[in-house]
Amino acid sequence: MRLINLLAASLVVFLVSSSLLVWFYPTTRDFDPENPFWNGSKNSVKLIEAKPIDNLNELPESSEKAVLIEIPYEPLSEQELVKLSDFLTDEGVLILMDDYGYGNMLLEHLDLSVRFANTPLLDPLFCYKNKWLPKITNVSQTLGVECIVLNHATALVNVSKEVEVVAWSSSFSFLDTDGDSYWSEGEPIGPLPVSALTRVGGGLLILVSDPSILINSMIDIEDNRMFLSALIDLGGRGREVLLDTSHVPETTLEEAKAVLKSVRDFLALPCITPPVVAVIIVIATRSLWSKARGEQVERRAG
Amino acid sequence: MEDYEGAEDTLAKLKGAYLTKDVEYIVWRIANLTSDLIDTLNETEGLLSEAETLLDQRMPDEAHAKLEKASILIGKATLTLNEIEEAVETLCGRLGIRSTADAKARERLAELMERLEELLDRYRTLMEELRSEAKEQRSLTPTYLTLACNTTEAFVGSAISLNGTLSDELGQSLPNREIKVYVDNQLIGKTVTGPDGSYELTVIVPYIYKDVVPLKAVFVPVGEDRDVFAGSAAQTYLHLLFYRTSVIISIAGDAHPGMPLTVNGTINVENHTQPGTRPVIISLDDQVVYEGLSEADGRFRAEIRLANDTAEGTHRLVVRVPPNRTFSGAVSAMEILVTRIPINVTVRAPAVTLAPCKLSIRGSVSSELGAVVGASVVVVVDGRTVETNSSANGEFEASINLSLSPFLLKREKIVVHVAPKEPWLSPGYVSRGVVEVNTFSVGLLSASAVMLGLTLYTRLRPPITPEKPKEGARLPEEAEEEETVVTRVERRLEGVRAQLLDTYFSCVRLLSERLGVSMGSSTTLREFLSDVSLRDGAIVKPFSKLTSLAEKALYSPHPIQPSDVKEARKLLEQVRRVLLG
Repeated sequence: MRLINLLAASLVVFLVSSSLLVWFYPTTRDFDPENPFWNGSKNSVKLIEAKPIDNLNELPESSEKAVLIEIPYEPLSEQELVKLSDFLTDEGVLILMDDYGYGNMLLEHLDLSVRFANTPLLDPLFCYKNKWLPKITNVSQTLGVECIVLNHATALVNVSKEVEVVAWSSSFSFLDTDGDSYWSEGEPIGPLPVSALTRVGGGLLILVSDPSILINSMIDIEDNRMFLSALIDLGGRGREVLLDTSHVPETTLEEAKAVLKSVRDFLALPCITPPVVAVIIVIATRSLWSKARGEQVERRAG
Repeated sequence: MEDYEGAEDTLAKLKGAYLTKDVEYIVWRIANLTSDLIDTLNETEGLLSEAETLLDQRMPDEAHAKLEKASILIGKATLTLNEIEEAVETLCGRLGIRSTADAKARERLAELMERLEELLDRYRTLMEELRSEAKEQRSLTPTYLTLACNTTEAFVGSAISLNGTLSDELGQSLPNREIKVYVDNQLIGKTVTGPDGSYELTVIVPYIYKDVVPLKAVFVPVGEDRDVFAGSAAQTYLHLLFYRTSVIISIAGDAHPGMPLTVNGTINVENHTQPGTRPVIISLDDQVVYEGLSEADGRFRAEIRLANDTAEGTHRLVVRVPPNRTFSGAVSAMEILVTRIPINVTVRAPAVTLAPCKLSIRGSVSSELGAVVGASVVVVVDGRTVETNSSANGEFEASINLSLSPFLLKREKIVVHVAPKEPWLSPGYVSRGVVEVNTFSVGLLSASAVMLGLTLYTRLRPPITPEKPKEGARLPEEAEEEETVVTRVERRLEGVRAQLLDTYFSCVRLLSERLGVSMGSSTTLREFLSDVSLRDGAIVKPFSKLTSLAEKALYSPHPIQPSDVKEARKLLEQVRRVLLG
């Protein structure tokens, strides 16, 4: 085999095998319902029987029977803010889970004073393994939960009477506003609210200052599973649970999958498929042609 | 409550130990929460005490309100205590017990927590008892008390007339019952109701310098009435009139320990241009330092002397003018900064000195007030200390013996500490360096250097060669930079060696002329041979042998024989024959 042929064959094998690997390797995106790894939400989605949606346009027309879990790690557009606002007005239950994302955009849009602090909530005493995993034991009795564990969470600030706090951090927690991992003079000290709810229009807005309780590695710690179920049931049982995945950043793997998908879609076009098949057939049978031609030349010479 | 405040001390001691930043924060937070808990318990205690008094006065409704507040506080305290206990337990579990002191501190902490819990329990019990008593008292017949005052405002110290009635729920008057009157919770008079249940009394308004005070009449059932009637109270408000006094103060100059400080001030009284002579009391950090009287126009000038041991820093100066009947009192406070005057210390000493010697150090001490006299001066050099005092012109002198050190050069520090005897002057110190040169070491080093030089000269001087080249012969390595080897050789050699080399260079000249090969200043004999070999292969053999003989003449220690010269000439002839054809 000539060197050029060997290189071409190797390239084809590499492209095919890497495409297959990218295609079939499970997603590693944070909170992705298909992600079975530590940062995915496969287990939670299964637990709460949530239906993932890629776009807020997929929201049901009648919100009164739906619970939407929103993790705004990407900014929300004006249209999306209106959609979420309408969802609440139409008696939907919106669970807004955020720590360092864009949840405050929605709170501002809804004209509420409460905000996500967007700075780390640390608890050096009552914590699971380390201070970045604060244990929350002061939870409203209505939720029937004793202890939840957060993961690199934040807290709610500017909490007024418009919201009802359902979970507080311990008196030993604090907001690490200067980012030095230690408490410094002037940093807010616990108890700090980490979950609260308020009525917006006919709907219910539930705020949780950490979306990480959804991920596979956190859902089974302490009463996180029970807490999530209790929050969903706050608006009444039997509602359809939706998980919006359109505001979670994509990984490189996701982008590669998207490229492959668009290539596949392109190749599947009626005007593209026949020529491509023809080219493949020509390439595959080229060696047979060459061999036959060689034998013909030899016969003439002989 | 004092017993329980020991918890804070224990926590403060814990803080003194070496702790990580996180643990330090936790301990600080526990101390905070404990402090909050103690405050809450104090407040609860106050409310329960008030409720008890109200129940004693047979006022169950008022007592009930206090008990509700106490109940909320007890709930809050219970939560806080639980959190503290859990925190202490978690922290102890995490840190482990590292020493006996640790164990004792934790034991004490646990004991205090237990006692706080007991106290809370006691409050809970007391509250329940009071609640049930309040409940029982609610079955008593309510009484109604009215209160009217002949004026809504009155000067302090003036008389006012009060009247009212006491009746039961059916409106029947209650005669011969004692009514007490309070102004701002201060009992100012009491009387007994008449046959028609009315009362009337004149009281003197106490010297209270507040704009508005509550005026309250209280009926507390006594004797048989305690089981029949509930207590009652009536309240109104009285605007008090008095002349407001104010005081403005200033200090002249800076405050220094042991030095006098002048405090100037003016007392002003509302609606009075001449406030009259008023007592003035000045205190510094709650210690009275001056008592005197102001002038009739209200001005005063007080000279206070700060104690010699007054610490540097901020101190609180308070000027108080006590009230005088219809004139209210006045208080004015200010922060004063007490400092010591810095001193200047100069030192004169040599920068370099030979040791051993007596090092003389001179200097002077002064401040902005002039020369500092009689100050204690301590000079320290290399651990040796000399003490002296500054003279009348602030000068001082000290001598210190410097002994030999094992080093050649040693940098010493001269430190001069000055402690003035005047408390208003701050102590000072100055330091400067001196290089101490060890005389003995310098001598020793010089001798060693001379000996080393001599040894090196003896060892490294060039060897004497047994035979020197003679004039007439030329040495190529000593030749000047020139185009050809013949003109470069200046030095002449003598004897057979010279003859051999002459033969060789004759051959070289011949080769240069015929073959155009020249011998450069850096060309070796072998390199020249190599160059020649490239031009004409036939002469290689004889010229190679001639080159060997020339090398022998130049570099070999063996003597050259006449036979070598003879052979060289023969070889030259061979070369010539080849070249000339």
